[in-house]
Amino acid sequence: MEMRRVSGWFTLKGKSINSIAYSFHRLTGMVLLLYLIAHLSFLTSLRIGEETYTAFISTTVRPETLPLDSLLFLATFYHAFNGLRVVLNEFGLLYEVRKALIYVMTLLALIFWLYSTYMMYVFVTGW
Amino acid sequence: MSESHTRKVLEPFGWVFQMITGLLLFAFVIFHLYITHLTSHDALEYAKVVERLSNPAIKAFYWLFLASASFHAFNGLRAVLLDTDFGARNEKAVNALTMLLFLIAVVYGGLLLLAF
Repeated sequence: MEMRRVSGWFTLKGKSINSIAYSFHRLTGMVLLLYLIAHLSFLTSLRIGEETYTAFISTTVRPETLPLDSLLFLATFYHAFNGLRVVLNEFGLLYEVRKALIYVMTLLALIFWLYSTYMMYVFVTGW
Repeated sequence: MSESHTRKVLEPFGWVFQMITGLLLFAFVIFHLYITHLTSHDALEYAKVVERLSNPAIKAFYWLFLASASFHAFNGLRAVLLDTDFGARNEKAVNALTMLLFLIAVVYGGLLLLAF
């Protein structure tokens, strides 16, 4: 498979801020697709029974996996806020400040990321 | 490249539904995180999960969530694959494969929901 065009996502030099946002949107989208497949597979344990489900949960929901949860939140909120920006632009909303909107949405994603990581920390440590 | 390129690749059905499901997912993900992590510390215990999934309203929500997330994910994958030279040469196969994966995800997750 020729991946020439896809490899362009990873090139940052000379790119506009809009193109960089587009590349990150695709990269985070691929991460979330893989997570969706893993999540649906993981939930099969619910059908197997309580013992299997509890074993899965005790393996994946613990302080040691917090960094992975945090990265997942970062991908989720970046993709969500950048996607919201794309929809707003599509309907011409805030189009005159579209460049500033990229920074605002990225900032909102970072705020949600920090808050969700903190809440996950509270959740897994049982505070 | 920018999102205008994706719009062109997915036009018209795929792009419109990508935006609709994207907006739905924005709210769905936050609600999902809220009920699984913020309501109580034992929200992920087996009994609590089964109790939630036995509620018809929650079950309906999760079915809609599953359908939206699966469509958005595999339609997004379709856009990515169509961007490769391979995808551009095999457009029909890419469309069929990604929509098949979407259907498999919905049926697989739907059967899981029906179990409760």
